[in-house]
Amino acid sequence: MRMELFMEENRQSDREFLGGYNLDVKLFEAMGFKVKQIIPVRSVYRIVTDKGFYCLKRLRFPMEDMDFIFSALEHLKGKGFNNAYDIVKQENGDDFISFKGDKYFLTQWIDGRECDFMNPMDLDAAIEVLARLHNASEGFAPVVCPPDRCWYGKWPEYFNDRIEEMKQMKEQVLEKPEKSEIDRIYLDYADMCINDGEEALQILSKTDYRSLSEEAAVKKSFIHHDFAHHNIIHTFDGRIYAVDFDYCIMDIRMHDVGSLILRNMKKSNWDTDKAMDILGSYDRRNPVSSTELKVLVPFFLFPQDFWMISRQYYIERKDWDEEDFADKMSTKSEYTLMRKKFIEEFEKRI
Amino acid sequence: MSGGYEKLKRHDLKLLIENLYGLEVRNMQEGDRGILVYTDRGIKRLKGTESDEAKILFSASAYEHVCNNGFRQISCINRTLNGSCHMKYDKNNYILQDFTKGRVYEANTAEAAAVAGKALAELHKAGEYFIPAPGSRARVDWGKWMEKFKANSISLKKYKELIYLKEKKSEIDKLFLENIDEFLEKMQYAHGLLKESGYLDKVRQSMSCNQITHGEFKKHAIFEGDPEGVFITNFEECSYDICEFDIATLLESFSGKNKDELAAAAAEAYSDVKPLDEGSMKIIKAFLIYPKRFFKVSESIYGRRKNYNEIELAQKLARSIKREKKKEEVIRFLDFGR
Repeated sequence: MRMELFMEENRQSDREFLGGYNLDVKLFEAMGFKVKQIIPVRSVYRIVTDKGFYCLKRLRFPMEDMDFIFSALEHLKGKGFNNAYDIVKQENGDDFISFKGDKYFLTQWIDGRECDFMNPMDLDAAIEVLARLHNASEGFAPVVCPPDRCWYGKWPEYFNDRIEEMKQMKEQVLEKPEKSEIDRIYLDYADMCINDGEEALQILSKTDYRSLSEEAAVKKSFIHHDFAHHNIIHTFDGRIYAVDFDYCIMDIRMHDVGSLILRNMKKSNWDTDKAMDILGSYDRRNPVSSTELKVLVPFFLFPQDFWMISRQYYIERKDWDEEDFADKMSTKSEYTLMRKKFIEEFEKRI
Repeated sequence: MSGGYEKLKRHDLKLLIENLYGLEVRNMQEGDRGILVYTDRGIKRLKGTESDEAKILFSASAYEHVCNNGFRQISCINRTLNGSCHMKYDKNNYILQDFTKGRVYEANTAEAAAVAGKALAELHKAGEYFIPAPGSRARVDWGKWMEKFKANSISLKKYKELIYLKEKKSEIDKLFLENIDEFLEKMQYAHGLLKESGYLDKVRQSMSCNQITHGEFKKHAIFEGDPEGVFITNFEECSYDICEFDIATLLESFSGKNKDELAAAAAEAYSDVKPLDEGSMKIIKAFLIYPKRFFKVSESIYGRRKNYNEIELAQKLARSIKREKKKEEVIRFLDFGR
């Protein structure tokens, strides 16, 4: 499975993924309990059993990726980070169970509400957790680090690959004798997005990105890589948990911080004040250097949303509703325009 | 069944209700707000809902929480014999509640408005320290209004700029442009008012006591109850929020020439049960000033651009402007009434 530069909420793919679960009574018998209720929640199942509530997940990556994820969670726990879930071990001591060709694992079910980034208190609490997660992640030395999980110094390579893909998709669309609505939207924005990508690459080359990556590699730190509102759970007794570490990677922490800002910008109409508040709040917990701030500019400029939605349509050929695609393509293309104004303002203020 | 529930097969439904709830169904009849089910244990109301199981569980546990805390002017969601809060029929979810006879409450005198205000305060008191049943999906509105006001005003400014760029302006565009500056000013004022009135402190307080609110406390949610009382419905939309939001919704729903008098009576009666300070009054004012209807219609015209019917939307926009202006009398009470 391809790892994305930063993750987008995608309910369609959640549904597709859930469809692949093999929910058989024998699976639960093998896990040692009786299931009373199974409820789908995003890409997992909440199961109510005679022994309590659990979260059932199907392994979606090769075993070496799962080892990486499990050991990252163990590492965080060992460093005193208590805001992540625990893996529930199987009776034989394994982290997962094999069933009819698939592998499943259980975590404790964390009951609560999803974080709301529009609530300043929730957002601040999320930033606190993220800052502590980054600190606790240092010193992580997994037995095996799958190549796709090691991102130190790789941004230029990934930017380049994506620019090439956007160019290829453009060629592909231009060759079509009849253009659909989606094709027209793509062509309207493709040149601008390719230029933005190239500009992002160029700006990145002028920053100290390499030395930041090297420092992170020395510190052996990793990031969550999917720090979305639905992956931060507030329990009703005031505790906060970061969940779903499926996409965690070794990379510089600005990747998580930048993604958090972008997620918020899309909801707040690209309000630069809010972006500065997020940075300020993170900086109070984990001081951010000016070198790190500069890396955020190319990160923001790269047309990630446009590349991703186009890729899903033209390369992965996802079987989604055409109208939905056109809507998404149109919204994400408009982000490209709005983010430019935002970056201008952001650059002035850092 | 006929009307909105025409796809339901009476016999299937009867058997399903009897089996799931252990009731004997004697008759069924479609009413304004669902299907009335006459059973051996009184009249029930079966209502379709678009919410999923987790959301239904959240509102069902909220109903039970306020009831258990002594607020009886509400009808809980009935549970099935195996403890579920809903039933599934033909892939849709339904809830069953005890039916209460009565009409929509006419709050056209100060006394009547005071009854509604008092009931809301009592509901809020009973809604403190609410922890939903495990597996619920909570509806949460804590702390979002300030940012929402700001983000929405940025959207309206964007639409305004886009319309100015248009060579040929439609009737809707003209109507929008005639009013936009006034509403933008109101949005900014409402945002500023929230900021300076201690809105976030109120959110903090509400979060610390897990305050559940009604979420839709307008005219149609209040029914005539036992002598001189009221009965609260539509609690399914309940959410975690500050109480001031519900109060503003109630005050806004008053109609007639004496709106300011009704608003004053309701606020005073509320405050007798759950005191409102100056900050609360400013927050209520901010909610009232904020032109939510105008924004909603503008958003559907220029933002989502779905179901675009020019004539219908122009009427909607005109109606929303008219209704925004009607709120001014209530706002005046908040300026001078206290």
